[in-house]
Amino acid sequence: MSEQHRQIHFAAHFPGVNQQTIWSDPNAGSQIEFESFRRFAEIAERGVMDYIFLAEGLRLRERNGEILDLDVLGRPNTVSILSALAAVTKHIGLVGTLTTTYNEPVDLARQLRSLDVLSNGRAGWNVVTTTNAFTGANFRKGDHLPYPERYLRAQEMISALEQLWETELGETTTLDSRYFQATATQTLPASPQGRPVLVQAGASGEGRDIAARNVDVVFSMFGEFAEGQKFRTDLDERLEHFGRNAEDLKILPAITLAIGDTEAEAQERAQAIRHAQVSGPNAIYFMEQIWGRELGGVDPDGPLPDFDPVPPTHATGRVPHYGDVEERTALVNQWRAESEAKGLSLRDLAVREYGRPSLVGTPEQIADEIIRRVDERACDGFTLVGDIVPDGLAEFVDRVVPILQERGAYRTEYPENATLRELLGSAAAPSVPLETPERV
Amino acid sequence: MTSKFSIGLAAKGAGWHAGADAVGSFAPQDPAAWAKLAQAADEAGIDVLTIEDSLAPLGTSASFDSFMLTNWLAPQTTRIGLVPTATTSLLEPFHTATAVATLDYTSEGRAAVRLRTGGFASESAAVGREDTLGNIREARALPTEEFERLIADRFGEGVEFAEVVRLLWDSWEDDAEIRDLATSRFIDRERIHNPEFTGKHFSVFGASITPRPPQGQPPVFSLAHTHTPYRFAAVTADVVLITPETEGTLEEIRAALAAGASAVDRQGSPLKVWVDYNILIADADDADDDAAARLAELDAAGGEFVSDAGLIAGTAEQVATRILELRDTGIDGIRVRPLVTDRDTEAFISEVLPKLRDGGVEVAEGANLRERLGLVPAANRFVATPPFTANAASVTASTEEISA
Repeated sequence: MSEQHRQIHFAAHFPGVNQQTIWSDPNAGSQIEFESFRRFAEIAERGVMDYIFLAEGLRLRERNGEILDLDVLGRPNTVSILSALAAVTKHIGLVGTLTTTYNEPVDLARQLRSLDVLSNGRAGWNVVTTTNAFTGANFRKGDHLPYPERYLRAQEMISALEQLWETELGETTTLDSRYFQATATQTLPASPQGRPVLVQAGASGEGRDIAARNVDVVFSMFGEFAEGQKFRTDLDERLEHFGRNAEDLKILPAITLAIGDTEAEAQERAQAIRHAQVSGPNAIYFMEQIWGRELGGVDPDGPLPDFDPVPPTHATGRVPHYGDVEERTALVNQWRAESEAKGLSLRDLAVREYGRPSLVGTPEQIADEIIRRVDERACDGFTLVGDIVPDGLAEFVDRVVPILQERGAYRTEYPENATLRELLGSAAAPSVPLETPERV
Repeated sequence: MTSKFSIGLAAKGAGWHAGADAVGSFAPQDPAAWAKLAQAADEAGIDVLTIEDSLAPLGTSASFDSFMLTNWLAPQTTRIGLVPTATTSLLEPFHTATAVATLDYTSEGRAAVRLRTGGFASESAAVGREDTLGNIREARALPTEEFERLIADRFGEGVEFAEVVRLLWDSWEDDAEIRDLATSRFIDRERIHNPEFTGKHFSVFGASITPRPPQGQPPVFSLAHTHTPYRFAAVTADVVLITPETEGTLEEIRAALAAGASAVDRQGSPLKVWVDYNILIADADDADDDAAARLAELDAAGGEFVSDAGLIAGTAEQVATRILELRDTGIDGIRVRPLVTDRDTEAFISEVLPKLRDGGVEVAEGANLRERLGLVPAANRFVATPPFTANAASVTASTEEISA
């Protein structure tokens, strides 16, 4: 422990509804039974992590108007499962993704404060806005917001919740803004951390401003070293603009893992994981988004189709953006050249393109790399995405975490009765007052 | 499967008497107090614990979101049914369906839900909506025509809400998840059914995000005081809670319920009928602590006791005798509302319950809550005949008897 390292923070992402989760593995457990969540939480808590992170999706994904059957489907209600987990964990934070679009502020504020009090100050909210009519079809207000408005509404929702969270039991407050008009009396006591921790993932300029102004953690997509540093620098400037300390906003990019006894073994494993994630039919599904049309009859293990991409003809509940038809055609032409040169199949390319940033190596290599990235401020740690439910992070916890602890870069135990915000070591952002309404 | 006499405990903050906050020692803002209460009721073999809920304060007591609280209690209890309250005029049926389904997973088959069509003006204000009806009992003082219009709207919305929740629970067949390696398919999409529901009040298109819960259809409770709510219960619920004495005799209410069930043409599994009573249990050994004295103390602290349900007050012996008399009328259960949450629950468990057991009220057996409540297994409506059917449209079709 001769060197002084910045302290690392980890969140544990429960593997969910996407191709990252390998359901075909014999060790893959239930995505829905409580026992899976309990075990997942135990492992994350054994790893002394800051919080468990749950995503949300409020409509089953579709492909060509039919429910997508290739990936994991089905998940519990986010806040409900976190409440149950609060009863079987002691220290770890519980962060759920909840949309600002299909929830009323008073209801959402009360659910999160209930979770916060029941967990003794361990609740967090990953703020997202839902912008598609696809999801809206399941809710009373089936409409969706135009893109620029989603951030106005998101800011108002955060401000509204903060205003509600600042009231004491029995105190009445009135929300009066562009989107919200309500009067509510507080039904709950304050939680030990004052208000739940806020997490956000927006990568656009507006999204970054929301983060810099309001939140405690950014769940970023910038999991590589250089892009991570660039993102950090950009956020630091925004934080300064809003009068906040850089250390009060943690950046925890999503990352997957492949651990091996040797580097070669780890690389082999990473490749095996990706192949398990991208089945033949899944590769076709992925490539249909590039080609913009159905690819029925195409052999995933054969060469690329000889026809060019077209403008999209089908919508899905998935949101990759591969550009317009010219960009996609250019990409396909580049792949064709590579495919011919290296003998890559359609599936090989899908496997390669699907991959998220990964930490691949021996436990020592992975520990070194994490320490380097955190010390050099490419991030403050990671949101770890396991590939198998519920034990996907066990190997990391048992093999990598002890090395980080030995090197003094990571806590060895939870502080007594710490709140989630205390685990993160950050001060809450000053609340942003709800703005005077400019009703349209 | 048994079909005996069920016992429910209704928890509302510090107690059902407004004076309970001042007189009692239950701390509804403290999670540990709820865990202790639920565990005591669980160990005693009480069949369900219902949690009152509202977006506005319930008296002066603190109140947790009932879905958060019951999910938190689920892993800390083993047998008791957990019943959060969903207000159908304020919530999204999609969220309610997944929250109850999740509770059924976290409790391993012990979830239920009480549907409540509306509440007080303060609750509507909390979601920025104009209140159209207010408290239904107060609204009954309105001119008949106005009352009927208002009630039709609210109950029409409630019926749609319940229908959507049940459709969402059935939207996945039990074996929809196939994990078929040969075809790389996680699910069989033919076994998932989008409700594609379009109603007058809202529409919900897609299937639930949560697979069908362990019980298939967690039991639905409804508290009803008059004819339209009786029909609402007959269309939506598995268990209706009624309030004899305040709304006519038990016989009159049962006749009205039967008429309501017939008016909506309920077919299949009949509605279970439970009575709802406030209870206050005096200490038989303390001459100065009789029921009247305890009630007077509570009244002094919180004002005269007013309730939509009757009150059974007395010594444990008296309370048990009264409950056994009710049981002997052939009703299916009772839900007791302790005037002071901790004290009256403790007395009920330690003194009244043993007398009920002696009187033949057995602890119900069954693999899940439905079975313990004597409800038939819930077949999925997309592949078989559901436990019951009824004509939703007739809940609000004719309300002339309300004015009678």
